[in-house]
Amino acid sequence: MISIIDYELGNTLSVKNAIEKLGYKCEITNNKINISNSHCIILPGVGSFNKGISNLKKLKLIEILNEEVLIKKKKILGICLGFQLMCENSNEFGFNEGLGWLNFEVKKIDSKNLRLPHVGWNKINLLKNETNFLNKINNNNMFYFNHSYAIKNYKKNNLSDLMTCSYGEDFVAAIKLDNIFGIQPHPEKSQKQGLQIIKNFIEC
Amino acid sequence: MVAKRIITTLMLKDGVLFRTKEFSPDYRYTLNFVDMWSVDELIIIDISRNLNFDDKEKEIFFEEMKKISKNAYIPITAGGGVRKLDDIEKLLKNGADKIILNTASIIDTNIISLAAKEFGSQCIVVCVDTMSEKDQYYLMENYGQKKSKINLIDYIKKIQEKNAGEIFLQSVNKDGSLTGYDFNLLEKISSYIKIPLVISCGAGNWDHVKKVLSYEYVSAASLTNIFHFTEKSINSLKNYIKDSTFIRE
Repeated sequence: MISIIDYELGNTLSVKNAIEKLGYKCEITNNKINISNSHCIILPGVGSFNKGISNLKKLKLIEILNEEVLIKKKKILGICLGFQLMCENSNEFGFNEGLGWLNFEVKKIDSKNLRLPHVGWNKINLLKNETNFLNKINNNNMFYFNHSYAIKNYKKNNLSDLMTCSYGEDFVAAIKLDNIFGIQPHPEKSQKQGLQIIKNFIEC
Repeated sequence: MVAKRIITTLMLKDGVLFRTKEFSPDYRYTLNFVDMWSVDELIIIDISRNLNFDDKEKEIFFEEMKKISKNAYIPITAGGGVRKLDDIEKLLKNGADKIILNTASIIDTNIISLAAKEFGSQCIVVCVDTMSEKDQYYLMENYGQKKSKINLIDYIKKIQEKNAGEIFLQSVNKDGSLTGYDFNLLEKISSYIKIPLVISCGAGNWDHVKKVLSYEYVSAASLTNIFHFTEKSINSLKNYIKDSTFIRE
């Protein structure tokens, strides 16, 4: 069973549809026992950083997630805002601290003359591919992005898997660091290549 | 560079799909016209009038949306009757990825900033209904039936100040006409558009789409009725424009 975390933000049904299409069982939940018994966790996200963190706090999910991810080393995939929440902090609608699992900061994209939000289908650059997370993904694949904030400074060396995207400047599109997986575009909304990444995560 | 998007807008009245003309249901429509693998995004709007999200009848829309989203691995933007933040959460729980504000934003644009603070500005699409009359363009309210007292350009500026993520631009005159997008309207408002713009209403051939997507400030083109008349239409449109327009093939 896969737990899709319900923190009252996010397109949870879209994520559930994608996982079921792949033939896996999942449930949308914020129940401690369900999360603890699950095989892996997905932290989805359509929302602002500030609201995301305060909802995780309100629903007492931070402790549960810390235990699963940091102590039990359970696999977790953060999608879009879910990925950003795993980082140190963000300055979307004021400065807020995140879960702090990933040593990155989330900042507004300097898109130069391009319009924000960065919304639509964009190509990715595959830079590191040491595990199966980005299996069968290549540079011509397009993913659906919808965001104005991103992770722009990252150290390549401790990541096993990395893809980036460019919109005025480069930023992280997906990473893997041990049991922590993060993806900025919406794989549940990126057709075959998106479903492939979700499948890779589950089977990794 | 981000690809220009081809979007199909689905209008549901009491759970039934319709083509519309001048904002009124015209003919029944079917999902068979929509190739969910070729199209880049779906917009689903409940055009049943005067329904609140708490009404039992609203469930019919949610059920239809859930059915559509089950086989659509592309973004879905949903709207129609959104008045409060709880409504937005309901849409996201029922298969939407982004939401549309219209009447609620005309009543008070502050709902845009409140919604953006909660769901992120990228989730909030504001629908702007327009009508032209003797070279004048008007903001329309009440399902496109009534000219608003608010000036169109002022409104377009205001919704962007309030942190809207995208603008979905409709034209009452052009809806269902197949005579081309309202290019005059686009020229009038172009210098005020700072966020991604989705243009809808009027596409009657592939050249209309090709032309409108050549404008830098147009991020996406919505088409519906034209897909009634052509085989494998979304795919054939994409083949027609792919040499001149950066799209997802």
